[in-house]
Amino acid sequence: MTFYHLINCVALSVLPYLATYKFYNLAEYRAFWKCAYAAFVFLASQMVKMLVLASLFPIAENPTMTFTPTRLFYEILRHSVDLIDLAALSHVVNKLALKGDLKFVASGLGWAFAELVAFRLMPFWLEARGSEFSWIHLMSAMEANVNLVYYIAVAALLWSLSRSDFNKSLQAPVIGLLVLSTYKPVVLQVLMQVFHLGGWFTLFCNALYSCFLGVVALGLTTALTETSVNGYAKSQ
Amino acid sequence: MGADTAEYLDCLRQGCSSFVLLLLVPLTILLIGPAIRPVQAVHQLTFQRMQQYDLSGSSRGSSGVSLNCEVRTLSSASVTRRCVVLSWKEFIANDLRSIVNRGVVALIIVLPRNLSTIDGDNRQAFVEAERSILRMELQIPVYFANQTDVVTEWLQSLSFHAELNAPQTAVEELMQQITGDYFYLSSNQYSVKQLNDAKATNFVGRLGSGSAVGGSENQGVIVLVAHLDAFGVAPSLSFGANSDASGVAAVAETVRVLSKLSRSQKSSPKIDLMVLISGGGKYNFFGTKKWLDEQGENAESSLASRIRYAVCVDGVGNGGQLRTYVSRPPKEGSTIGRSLQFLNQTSEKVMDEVALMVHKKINLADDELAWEHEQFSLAKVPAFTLSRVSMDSGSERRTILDVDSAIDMKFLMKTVEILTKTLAADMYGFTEDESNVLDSSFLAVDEDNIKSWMRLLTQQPRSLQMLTADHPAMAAVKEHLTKHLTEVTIKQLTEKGDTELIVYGPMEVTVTASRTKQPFFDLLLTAVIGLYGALVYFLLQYVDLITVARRLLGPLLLGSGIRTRYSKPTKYQ
Repeated sequence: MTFYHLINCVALSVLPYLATYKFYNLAEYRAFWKCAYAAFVFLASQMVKMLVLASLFPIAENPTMTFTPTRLFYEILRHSVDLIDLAALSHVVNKLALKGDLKFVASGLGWAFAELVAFRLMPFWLEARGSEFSWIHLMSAMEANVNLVYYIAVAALLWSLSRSDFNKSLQAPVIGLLVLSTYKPVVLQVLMQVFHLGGWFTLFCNALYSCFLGVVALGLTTALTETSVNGYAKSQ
Repeated sequence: MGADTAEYLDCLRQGCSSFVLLLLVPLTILLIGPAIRPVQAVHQLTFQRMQQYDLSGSSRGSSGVSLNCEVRTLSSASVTRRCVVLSWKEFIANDLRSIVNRGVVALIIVLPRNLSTIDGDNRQAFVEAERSILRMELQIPVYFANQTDVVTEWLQSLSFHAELNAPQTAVEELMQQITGDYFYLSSNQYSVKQLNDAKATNFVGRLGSGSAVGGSENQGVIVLVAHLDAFGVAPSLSFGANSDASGVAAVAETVRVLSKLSRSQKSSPKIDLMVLISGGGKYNFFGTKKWLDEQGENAESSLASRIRYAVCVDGVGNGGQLRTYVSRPPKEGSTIGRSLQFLNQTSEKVMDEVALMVHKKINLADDELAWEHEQFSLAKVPAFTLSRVSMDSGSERRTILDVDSAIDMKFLMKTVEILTKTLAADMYGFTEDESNVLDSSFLAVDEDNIKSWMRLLTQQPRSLQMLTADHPAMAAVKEHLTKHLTEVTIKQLTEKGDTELIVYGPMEVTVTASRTKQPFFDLLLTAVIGLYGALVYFLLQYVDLITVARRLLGPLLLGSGIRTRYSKPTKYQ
């Protein structure tokens, strides 16, 4: 039954990706290689991050779970490296030659899928088949769902920032949101320690946050695409 | 251009709806998630397997090895095709046959970390339970687990899941199938193998002039016997401190003292002392029987006819009354009669108690003899067993509870002293008038020697299965006898192909205990994932969420200064 469990995990994590790819008609826009480009950039940015982390942030001698102010500062510094992700994703969003929202959907999807393959599918293959049942794999599969929303939302926010018709007064809050997203793991770690919570809590918070980010992105992009369409319609 | 825009908006409409949907479904799954405990790692456990041996054609013990089953406790409703974990209290309180008949595929009995904590009535019951389980013919594997930290942790997680206990209703049963965690055990060994390295070994040595000097030949020999091996329900837990580490320690010390005495005396003893540390003593005194057979066959030396009597020492370390077990009452005036009388006198002097003579007839209906001297009695050699164990059923001397802590060093010392003096008197023909010799420092028993022997013998399990050539007890006995005795022979009693006594392994297995779910759980999971997929498909296909989103987000977007009036796109030709 363990192989069956592996199939379950993979199905739960991959199905939404396939659905998104299919229903955005990305195939029709020949966006496969564009998603692949996003995935490639994801891998490249991971490589860069790894190099930076390895050379600048040595692994703590005895990693403790307690958060001292120094440790917190260290963690914040360490997660600043994740800003590279934002820059890379922003590059992908602007680079892809696709229409409007397809731009950020394709880049978000490619990015999240690369993350899924690199960090989740491999552990599934190696561990979910083991005789020991572990919720970790199902959690990871669910997190892949959450991540899809999260990365598309982040890509959408990055896309709106790059728009010339974007309301300038909203620029600061959106940038703030993006930076908060980067430091979200630190916040979660602190929360986990204060309230003695486990993996489910992290997942729940991630889902909640992604949901919020998704709604914001949805609002902004809907408005932007509408103004552009309307503007285009008026000029006709 | 116009067509493109319309298409674009259609796509957008679809896209945004799926976008919202994707956020909602994981959240719903998450709502039920946190109720479930986080995962623990796989446990690696070491289990001790029950005895398995063939003795004179009859098989004993459990012949199963392979563990590949789900774990249940005794209170579970259905244990069919599962293995059952019992605490030692359940082990002594339940009829194991009825448990086995419920279709159990394996039994795991958890022992306390320190076996000496089982005492009093519990001890008695445990010994009896051991005896009765060994009498059952078991095809299923039976394992014993010492309650180490890992086992304790595992048991705690096992008992945490009350689901393992009987569900009352069908709904509960169903819920248990979904939410319950199960433990699955799988062993690293699957088949029984004959242990060829473990061979019963006899160590024989002689104190005195021996066959070289003709004169002493006629005087005969006294045989001093103790068996080296221990026995319990699990070979790797059999330390046999009282039976018969105490006997071997007593014999070793006696040998040391008497050899010192013989060096101090000008003449060699009138009667020689033959020492036999026998192997396979727990298997119907296999080593003693073999040795006697050998003497009978070898008519030339006809040692059997020259044996005055044999003293077997078995279980002299506990605090009970000193007893001499005989198969028939000794005749007046025989050597053994005089010797027993002298032993009584010495005992009175040393311990202020009379050794109780217990007359126990050999029960030929029983397939195993109770005492080692009975083998001598069967060979018509006068013999008695010196012991402090009261029960003559033998169970008390065949238990894993026979551990070091039950040994009373004072009693053991006194026994050795009595034994030494009795033997010395017989060998040299001392009478009571010459008791000054017996009280001399030559016969002083050294407590430290006995202690170190006991330590050596009980530091490792000493079951026949464990007594391979590299066992420290084997080497020590060999060295000790070679040092103090002459004509030392070491003889392995079984050849390859012998079927009289065969012991089987493995004695220990490493078992992986992993937490699993019922197959039903995975089926249900597939159903849920399928529903999730169907829901996504349905919403993407048929529900236009963009209007809903616009209506919901309208005030928000108005507040941010973005126009939200939704104008239906016109189709451009």
